[in-house]
Amino acid sequence: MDYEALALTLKLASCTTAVLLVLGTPLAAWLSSTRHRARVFIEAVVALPLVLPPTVLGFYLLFLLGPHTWLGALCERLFGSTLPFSFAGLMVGSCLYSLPFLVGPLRSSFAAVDRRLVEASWSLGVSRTSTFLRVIAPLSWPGIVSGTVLTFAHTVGEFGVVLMVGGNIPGATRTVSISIYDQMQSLDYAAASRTSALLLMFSLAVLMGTYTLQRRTFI
Amino acid sequence: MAGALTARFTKERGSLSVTSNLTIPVDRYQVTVLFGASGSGKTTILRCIAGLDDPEFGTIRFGEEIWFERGNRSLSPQRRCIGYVAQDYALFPHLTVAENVGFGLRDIGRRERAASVKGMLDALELGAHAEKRPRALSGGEMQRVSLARAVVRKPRLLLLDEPLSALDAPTRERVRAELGRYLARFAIPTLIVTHDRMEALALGERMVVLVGGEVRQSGEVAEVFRRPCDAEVAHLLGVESVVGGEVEPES
Repeated sequence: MDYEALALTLKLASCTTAVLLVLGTPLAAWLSSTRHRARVFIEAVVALPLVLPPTVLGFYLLFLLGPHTWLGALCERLFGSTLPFSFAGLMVGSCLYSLPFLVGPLRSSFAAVDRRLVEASWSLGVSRTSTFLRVIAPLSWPGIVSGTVLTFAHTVGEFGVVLMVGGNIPGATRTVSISIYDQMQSLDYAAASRTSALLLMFSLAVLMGTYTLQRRTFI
Repeated sequence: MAGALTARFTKERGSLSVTSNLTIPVDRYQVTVLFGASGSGKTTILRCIAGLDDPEFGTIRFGEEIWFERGNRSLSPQRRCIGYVAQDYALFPHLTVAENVGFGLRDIGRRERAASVKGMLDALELGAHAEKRPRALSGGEMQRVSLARAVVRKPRLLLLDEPLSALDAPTRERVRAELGRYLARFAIPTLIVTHDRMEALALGERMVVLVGGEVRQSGEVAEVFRRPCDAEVAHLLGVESVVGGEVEPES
């Protein structure tokens, strides 16, 4: 078992989930309530990783974050090196690729909260932000947990984007899925089997936990 | 007290264009009833006054304060300082009765808030239910919690949207009497939307009759019931025998 890859994968999944919770929650809240013209476009962009081959996303990220674009040059100036083939680059790729897995469930949960409760809160003098924190978020708790767990699990299982943006650098960008690929390439079927079984059980447990949570509500 | 609530606006709602030309002297009448058949635009008017919807044209004023003026100003519901009781009470299911009642009291200290909530729960005979969740309450109790939550903030105007329609007939009669007592005790200018003439008679001092999205008649409740302005209003008010006729001036 490649414990170094396992530790890196868990670190990547935790960081990605944390960053996406901070950035994705306001985005999901906005999408669930806005009638802005740009909503359809933003929704499509957020959902794009669901249908886009990971290699396509990886290719564009490599290009955009490389040293020949202004964004890549800016990153190089700020961090001392470009983002591709680093843990930070892997984070950027994972966040983009897992974005719909967080924003989707959150947006659906927020939108499912009874509008009359939100309006009751406003009429009681409570601000929109406070209404979100005191009414919408608590009533969306199962959806928030589902989105968080799915994001974490999806990041653990990422392969294409990780390989394209991060490569296969032990301790820096080699995740469990890359490690399985490596083990298969070197015909180490026993190790590949153990790691695959671990990922299989993990994924099954995550999905069962998520479905259980989805059945629970406060009411 | 504020003087008058003036709501002169137009609001499109589906195929119905609701035109409000209301002036409600809230300093002279405490309880005004907005009366009309289902779909006549009563709730639309109430929602616009509450700030939950914006009209297409017109103005809404409360005394000297402009709440809405097309293109210039739309005061948010938070800043209108109103109490709004929705048709189905809209109690927060994840909070207890006491937490529901104290929900809008965040700008005062914890001790003061607890005292206000307790006082309000006692006034509405809800003290025994303070720690219960809304799902454990009866319809009448939910109605009282919703009223307590709206009134505890001492709003300038209380808006009740069909406050008794979610109750069964025997409960409605009892709660109607209770509601009348509570409204008299709180002495807050109140606008009640209803399609129930018994409710209008029991609770209102003044009433406004809406037909097809427009105000057809307004006046003191007894006067409107005694002299409906036309056959349609008479039917709405429960007059069953309407005889056509002509009034000729005395020569």
